[in-house]
Amino acid sequence: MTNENQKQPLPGDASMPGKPVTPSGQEDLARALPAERGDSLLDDDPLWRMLDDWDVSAPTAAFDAQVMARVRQEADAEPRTKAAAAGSTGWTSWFTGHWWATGAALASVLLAIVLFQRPAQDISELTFPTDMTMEISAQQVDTTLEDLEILEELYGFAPVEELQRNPL
Amino acid sequence: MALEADSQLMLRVQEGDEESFATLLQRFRVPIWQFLHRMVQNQAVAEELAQEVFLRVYRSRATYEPSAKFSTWLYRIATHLALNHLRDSKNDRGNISADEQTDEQAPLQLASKDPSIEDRLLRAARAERIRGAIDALPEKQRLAVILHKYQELDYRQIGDLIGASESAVKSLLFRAYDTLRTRLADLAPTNATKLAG
Repeated sequence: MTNENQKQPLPGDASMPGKPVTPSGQEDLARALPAERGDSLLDDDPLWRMLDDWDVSAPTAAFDAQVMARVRQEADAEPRTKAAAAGSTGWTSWFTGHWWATGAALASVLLAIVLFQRPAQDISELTFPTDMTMEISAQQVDTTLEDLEILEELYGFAPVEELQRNPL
Repeated sequence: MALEADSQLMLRVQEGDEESFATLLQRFRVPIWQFLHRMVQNQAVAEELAQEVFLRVYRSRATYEPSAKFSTWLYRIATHLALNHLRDSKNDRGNISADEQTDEQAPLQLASKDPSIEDRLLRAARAERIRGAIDALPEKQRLAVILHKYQELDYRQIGDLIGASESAVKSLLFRAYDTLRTRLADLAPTNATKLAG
């Protein structure tokens, strides 16, 4: 077993650039890097030191202030959000979550009130158009008699009398 | 088992202690910012994403459970945001606006503050080569190298972040460093010394 403090070159080091990785090479690696990060072995690797040359800048001076401002903004908005969330679980949620059902129920109730609150009408108070009916009946009798007279003239007999002689 | 200091701070944030959040921000602002900068290679985007990371930490305080190291949790959020940004920007490549200057066009940051202009130029060229070589690695290898080399995370943490075992992380890193050795062979110290001389 390799001692992690004992520095030794990594498989595929700078002396053999481009050497393909083989399964046995990967096993070598697993043995060669027993430490948590393998730093003690990598310290001697030229590549490891070379990679240090890629540096990046630090965050701007205003970074912390900007983050804290956004966090406070978030914190200030939270009580309102929580209140809104609490409200939506109370009785007012009826008007937000099920507005259509609430509307339909209210409309039904209003319709029922209108229908049942209307005063009932006494049948004796109802009026019928009797005069008109009588007028129509008199006209019909006149027309019928005229028709009979015409028939009598045409056929030379009185249908009423004929009917009386020869009932059907 | 005793909780690590960062997790304890986060639990205090959970209880509404803003000072603890400021301490965590102070402690992790530079590593998270630099990680994102190396991942997205754009200073403005890195700054925006870093702010978003800390904002998400704050938003998630109520559900935070110290089941893993705080830094692993933090890097998970940062990795998620960085990879999402890279995937989105890959789809929108060609729609990069003028103010979205990538680091390829921006002046390079140099590790050394060497006053010599010639040396600075040489170092800038080296840094550019290294950045290009790392950028050309497959996504997982690139992520593993940045987390291992620059963020100094251990194999277990990297494994947690990329969803791989420790031995798989070692293999991944081995392949990545092997590729980098090949691509950067001409930048080996001997060559650099010759160039500098």
